[in-house]
Parts: sequence; C-alpha cells; structure tokens
Amino acid sequence: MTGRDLGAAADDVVLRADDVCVEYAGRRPTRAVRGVTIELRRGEVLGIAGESGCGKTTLAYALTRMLKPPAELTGGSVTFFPRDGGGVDIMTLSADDLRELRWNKIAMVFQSAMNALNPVSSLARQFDDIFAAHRPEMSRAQRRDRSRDLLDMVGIDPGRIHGFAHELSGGMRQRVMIAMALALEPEIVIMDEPTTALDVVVQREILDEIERLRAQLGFSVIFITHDLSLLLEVSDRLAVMYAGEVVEYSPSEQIAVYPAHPYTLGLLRSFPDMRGARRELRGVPGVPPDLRNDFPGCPFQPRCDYGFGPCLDVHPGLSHIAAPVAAQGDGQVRDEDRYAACHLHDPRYRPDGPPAELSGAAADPIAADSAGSER
Amino acid sequence: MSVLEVRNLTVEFGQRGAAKFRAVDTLSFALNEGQTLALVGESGSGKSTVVRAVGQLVKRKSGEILLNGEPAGRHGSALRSYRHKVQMVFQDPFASLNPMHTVRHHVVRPLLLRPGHPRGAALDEAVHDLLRSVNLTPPEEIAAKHPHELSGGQRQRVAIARALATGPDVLLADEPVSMLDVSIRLEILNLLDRLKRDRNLALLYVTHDLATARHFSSEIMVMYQGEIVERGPSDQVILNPSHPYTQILANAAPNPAATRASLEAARAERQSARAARTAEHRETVSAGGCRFRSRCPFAMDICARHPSDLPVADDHLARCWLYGDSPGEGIAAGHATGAGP
Repeated sequence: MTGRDLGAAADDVVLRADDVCVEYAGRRPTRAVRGVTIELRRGEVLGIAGESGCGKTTLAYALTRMLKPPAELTGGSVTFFPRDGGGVDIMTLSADDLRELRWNKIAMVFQSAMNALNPVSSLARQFDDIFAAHRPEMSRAQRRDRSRDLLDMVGIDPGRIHGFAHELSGGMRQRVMIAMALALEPEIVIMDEPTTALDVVVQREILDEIERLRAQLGFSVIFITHDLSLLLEVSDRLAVMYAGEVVEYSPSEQIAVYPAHPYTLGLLRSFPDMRGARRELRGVPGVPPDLRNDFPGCPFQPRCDYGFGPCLDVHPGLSHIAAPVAAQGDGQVRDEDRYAACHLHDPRYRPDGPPAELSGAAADPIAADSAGSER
Repeated sequence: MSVLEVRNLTVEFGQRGAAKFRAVDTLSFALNEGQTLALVGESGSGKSTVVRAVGQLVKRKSGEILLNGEPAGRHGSALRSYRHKVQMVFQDPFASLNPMHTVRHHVVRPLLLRPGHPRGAALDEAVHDLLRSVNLTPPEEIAAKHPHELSGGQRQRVAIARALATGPDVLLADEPVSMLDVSIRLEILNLLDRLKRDRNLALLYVTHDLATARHFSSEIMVMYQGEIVERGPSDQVILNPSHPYTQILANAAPNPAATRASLEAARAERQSARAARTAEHRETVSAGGCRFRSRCPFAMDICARHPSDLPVADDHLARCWLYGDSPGEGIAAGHATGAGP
C-alpha cells in the first residue's frame, strides 16, 4: 500500500506529495525516501521529525525538485495548489516554470545560516539578487526599500543592510535567511533545521518570530528537525519519519499525549521532562537500518520492543488508526486524523488492539516506562 | 570530598586593536567524587573555555587548580600526570577521532602512556575491557574499525573509552551529546552516569540543555558572560530559577507538555516584553555593573554596581541584586513566588 488514501484532497491543501521515492545512485542504491505521502494545509505548520539519515532533508529537496545527482527522484508526484486556484504538477514543470515557482511560491530556509549567506557580498547585494531574478520590474530604490522593510520585519536594524554575514551573530543570520525567504511573499516556506545550531534563548526568539510572521502573512510551513520536543510545540500536524518512510502522521497534540507508533513512543521517552518527576530514561536503543537494504517486514522491527509475528515479513503501510481510547466518543478526535504504519494497530493481527501505551488507553504512556534500563 | 578544586579561575584572550577579552572571570567551583556538576549557559558564555582551562589546554591568566588538594602541575611530567587524572570528552565525535587510525589505536595510545603498562595479549585485553565498559561489543571487531565505520553514538563511546584509558579521577564532558541524535543521547548520558558511579569519577557536564542537566547532575552552575550567575542543587535551580537569566533559559526550553493556550499566552508575553526593547538594544553589552543588565526585565538602578553572590536558599546562590537585603527585597519576594513553574 502506498498511503494514497489520505482522504480526497481537501480544499485547503496547498501542497501534496504522493508516494514520493528518492534514491541515491550507487552500486547498491540507497533508497532514502520510500513512498512518502503527505499534505500541507493552508496556513498550518507541518512538522517532519526523525533521526539523522531518515530522509527528511532529502524529502524537502524532492518537494521543490532540488535534488542533485547522485540523488534521483524515482517515483511519485508533488502537486502545488496556488492560492488563485488550479493545481501545478511540480514534477513536470519546465526549467523556466520551476524557476518561477521557487522562492516566489515556495521558499526554503536552509540548515546552517552560517553557510547559506554569501560571505563576500553585503546583505543589500544578496537581497538585490533575489529581486533582480524574480522581480526585474522593481527599481533600485524600490529594491532597497523593500530589503530594509524585510530586515525590520524580522527584528534586525535596517541600517545593517550594508553589513556582511560575519558581522552578524548566528541568530541574526538566521533572521536574515528568514527575511530573504519571505522576500517574495511565498505561500509555502520549507524550513530545514532552522534553529538547530542556535542556543535555546535564540531558538525561542526565532520560533516566536516565525509564528508572528506566519500569523501576519499567512504562509504555510514545513518544519523539519530531529528535535521532537520542539516540533510538538510549534507544529499543527506532525509526520514522524523512520528509514525513509512516514511511520506516524497525526495532529501534534495527539502525538504528544497518545503516540501510536513504538518509535514515536521511544522518541518521546528520549528527552527528560525539565520540570516533572525524575525517571529512568533510555532513548531508542540500536541504530537505524542501512537504507541500501530492502526490508520485507517493518524497518523498525530490530529496535522495537513490541515486535511480533507479522513484523518480520509483512511491511506495514501507513493507515488510519482509531482515535485514542481516552478520547473516543468526545468528537474531538476523528479516526481520519491519525495514521500509523504499525501492525499493532491492525485488527487482523491484533484483534484486541494495541497495548495500552500505544492505544491511548494509558493515562501517561510516556512516563509508564517500566522497562527503563541502560543497554 | 572534592577531587578537583578551582579557585578564582580567570582566562583572557588577546584581541587585535582592543583590550583583552575576559572569557572567564574569577570562577570557583569544586568537583566531588561520584558526583556530577552541570555547567549550563548559552553559546559564548564561556562554558567551553572553563573546560579547556581546567584541562590546561588554554593557559589561565590567574587562579588555582587543586587536584586532590595539590596544586595542578603546569609543565612537563607534572602536567602529564595531571592530565592522566583529568580527562576530557569533546562535543564533536566526528572531529575528535583521527579518521586515519583504528579504534584500537585511539584507545591503546593513552594506555601506553601509563608506567608499567600491560604488553602483548594483556594489552589487547585491556583495550577490549575498556571497549566493553562503554558497551562497544564485540570489542574485537570494534577495535579493528576506523571512525567512519561507526555511528555518532559509537564514536562518542570510543572517545569516552579513550578518556578512561589513563584511569582518570575527573572527567570533563563538554557538550558530549549535543551533536548526537535525540534517540542516542540518553544512552550516552546513562553510560556516563553509570561510569561515574562504578569508577567514582567526578564529572563536569557542560551543556545548554537544562532538562538533561537537571536529570543527570546533583548540582548546577549557570554561566553568563564569563561568570557564574546562579548555582545550587539541580532541582532548586531548575524548579525555582532565581536569577533572571536562569528564568529566561528555563522558559525558553521547549515544553512538550504545554497546551496550545498556554503556549499562546507565553508567546504573547515574550513578544510584548521584547517589543519594549529595540533590536539594537538587544546587542548592547553593558560596561561595568551587572552584565545581564541590558537584557534583564527587572533591571534597577543598583544594577550599575556589580552584584555579589546572594543566598536564595540553603546552598542556592544567585549573583543578582534582587536577592539583596535592602534595595530589591520586595521585588525578590513577589518575584520568586510568581516565577514558579
């Protein structure tokens, strides 16, 4: 199953990826993204979480067709639904149309702001480059004014416009990157680990800034990071990736309290609660699989505490799962909101349903880790 | 008892065309055997410089380091025997291991520095024992590998095994897990915790992550611009942060347990507080007086004078005038109750 049944494309969808597959060529190709289907709704923050090497950055590059050899898109489609109607198949766009789309409609904030800014040109020249390429009709004075406004918008003194990247702190550089991404008022901003190199205080400022700008300008965000605790806070919905696949895809508030996939549960148990009771923590023991291999069963099975018969030889697809037991009947959570790729939720294999900590029946599944021990 | 005592440590760096930059300013602390002390703070606060100065990788301008009551050797064989007892684990396991050498090489070299070290099969067994003690199994296979064949977590385990090879009393861990995946971090921290107990090590854990600092240490020191602004038992410091800077740090950490509504409220509050200060203001560094003054929401006139360590509770000190006797007493009382989680 490919997960195509994520419901009919609702009116408010702005980007839809269908069964996207990416391979890195080699003697044994690395299948980095394996049939990912996700939807970004207008005005929402979609979080993508996962460990290094799970394919999250590769997926982001695939969405805007920025992959370079040896990476190659081997299947699937990505459709963009602009605000003014219609649907654009990004995979079949000509080079010129693609250029028109990028930055204008879909902008990207890259991982390390240190390296993404040009060290030898002033900020003014880098802003000019954007406008010269995408808004050739703008006059010099207009470009200058717009650049200053953008800096001001992200909380940097517009007087810095003639400055260089090395004169700015890490947080300020990241703000400049965000200002640049928003220069042409895109409908979608893809942020790849935008705060990972920053310390907590600066990270908090940047997140607040993103949230404020989103409320003001109404763009949608795909937010990629390995920091699940952060994503639970900033994103509306969350896709957890493992070994190139989405293994859980649900509203963030649901995942925070009622994780459905054992991997998500493991991740949630990986960070200590700053203010709660002290408890034994153990992370997710083991290492992610080699993506050059094929997995007949579940790719998470070797690290999973809950593995049983079918996990070894039947590949679990992403499917609807029931609302958390504790929330059933209150009408707040619909079944179609939650997806997981796990046989524990498949009534054919588990007629009694998943264990309490994954079904939403346990009161505090994240704390209820009795097996906590160091490996 | 304290294994390592640091008194009035000061480190300065030269700057071209400017006065010397004081990265660490008269800092004192002690590490006790079998205990973890956490040092937290934002980037650039001087945490790593403290570690490097204590490991004697950078020269200190002034201050004393006492190892088991004796002044630390600064040159030659005295320095070497100090380093045998005070070992470091660095942040980046991708950079701290030599890509040209096998795991065995990394672990065997420090072993060979010990006088009367084992030879032949006994040496191999010592390497394997070290690898086993950091849960790298099977040790025979791991020892033959090069760093590129290992995952980040495994590399950090090699770095820890290497640090243990000289039989240290003190381990200085500088952000040992911040380069690792979230799912791997806990394994490394649990490992350090176990080694600390098994070998009765004194551990200095440098981090910017308050949650793990609280979880893995008995005491926390909070560093800001080269000085310790708050120190105390870890639960005290995290659950009842007293210095305004610690409060900002604690509030900035992601809180997955928060509800949408409480997040909105917290964000609105932060934004209104921030709007009061301009972007430029945020960058200014105050000369003299409290170093946190320009960012502090509670700044008062007295803050132009440099504060001293003032008691908040037993063993819990904050370098902040809010906890002084006269000028800010009322504020401190009202503030401390309002700041609870």
